[in-house]
Amino acid sequence: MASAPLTRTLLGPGLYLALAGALVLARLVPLSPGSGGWPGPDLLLCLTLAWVLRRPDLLPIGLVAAVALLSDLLLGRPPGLWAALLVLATEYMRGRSQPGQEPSLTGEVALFAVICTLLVCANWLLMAIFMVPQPPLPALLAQVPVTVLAYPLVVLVLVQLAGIRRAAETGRGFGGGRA
Amino acid sequence: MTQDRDPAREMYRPLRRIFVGGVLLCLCLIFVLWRIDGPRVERLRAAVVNAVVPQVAWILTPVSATIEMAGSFRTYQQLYRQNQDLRRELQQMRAWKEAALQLEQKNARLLALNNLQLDPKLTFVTGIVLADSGSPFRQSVLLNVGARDGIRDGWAAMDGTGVVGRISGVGRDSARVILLTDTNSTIPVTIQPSSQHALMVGDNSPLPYVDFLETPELVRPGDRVVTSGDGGVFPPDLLVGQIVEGRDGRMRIRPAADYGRLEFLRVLRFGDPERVDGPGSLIPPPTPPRVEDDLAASEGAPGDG
Repeated sequence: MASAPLTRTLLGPGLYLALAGALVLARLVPLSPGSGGWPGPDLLLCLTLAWVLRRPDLLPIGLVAAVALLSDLLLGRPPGLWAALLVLATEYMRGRSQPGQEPSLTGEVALFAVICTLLVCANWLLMAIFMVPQPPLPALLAQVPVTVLAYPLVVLVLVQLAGIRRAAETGRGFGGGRA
Repeated sequence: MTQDRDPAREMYRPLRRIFVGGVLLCLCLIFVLWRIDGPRVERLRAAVVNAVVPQVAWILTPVSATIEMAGSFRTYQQLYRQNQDLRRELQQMRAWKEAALQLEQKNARLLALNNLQLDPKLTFVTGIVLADSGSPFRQSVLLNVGARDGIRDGWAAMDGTGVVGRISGVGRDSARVILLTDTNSTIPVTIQPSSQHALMVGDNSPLPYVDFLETPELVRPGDRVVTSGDGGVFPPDLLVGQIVEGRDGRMRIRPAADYGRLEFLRVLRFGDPERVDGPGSLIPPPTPPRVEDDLAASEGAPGDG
């Protein structure tokens, strides 16, 4: 890893881009349109936060913002709002990211649950302030437990299959570290 | 912490803070712009969707086909029972077919007697469903036909039997259909035997509800619902569905279109839909023509008497 830092710095964002693209596409597959049904987990949120907590150096903020804005546009959400909240959340997580030590999964999931709830509430509040028609808050909050339950699975896939673990030392420079 | 002593990081920190602020500001500006000038940003969205989704359709199509095959494999277990049911249904259908044929002949004779022309304006463009809305709170699908094929905003989309939704958002070669179950969907309908006018309003559940019904006592579950054509939103007399009574005791409509498997949709060509350009103004009574105008007209026109 350390012997080929350039490949690693290019491969990491590339892998994130591929995973995020796959997640957005998976939501676009026309399976049973119009049937309503249960809201699925927001896997893109899980992926981004789990990643930034482990390897903030491999996930530049511009990439997060671009992917989030594109998913806003593709999934029919108001463009920019959720993306801005997601960028804020990743910046907070970036600050909490500590190199070299893997924290307990329980604590991480708890933190994620708090952030997820806060994001959904903030999104609802801002939409209400801007008077955008939107579903009621309980329906939106119903997505939070599903997403929190999916988070450990995403972490498992990320750590075991994709090999995104905490680095012994964080990368230096523009992309890495806390703001 | 160790990384705080990293000189490179120390140098970059204020710069990075400005960069983060800039990104956040840009995103917020996009949102505010969307709120102020919705149509322009929505056109941008349609262009982005048009640029992305048709490119990846080759991934989406086999994935959804595979999942649907897995789903139908489960139903093979109930094949025998289903077969029996279908046979019984077929017998009933034969009787209905006979009745329908007789009615068709009678209808053809009556039409010939009246020398009636059916509306030739309603031709259609067929499109394939490319993608879902991707959100549990929005009910829409994306078709692979767009402005290139002459699709316009507001046209009705049907599957084989009933109305599915309305075009909203057209890209060059893709168009979004807002389904009847979406919260943004409201269409004027007529409920058939009592011919009462009402509105069908989507609320994100599979069964849209009936609103603005004048005498609900006249409406029974099982009544047919067709579009009324009021306001020029939709062509009249397209089949929408059947009245059912919802669990909450409200009159709801079960769409005739099979939302479980939307693969191909027909988009009806329907003139120019009604445009709302500004707030409504007073409609004055027609002014009687002035006498001088009448005189001038009769002098100018060649006399017919």
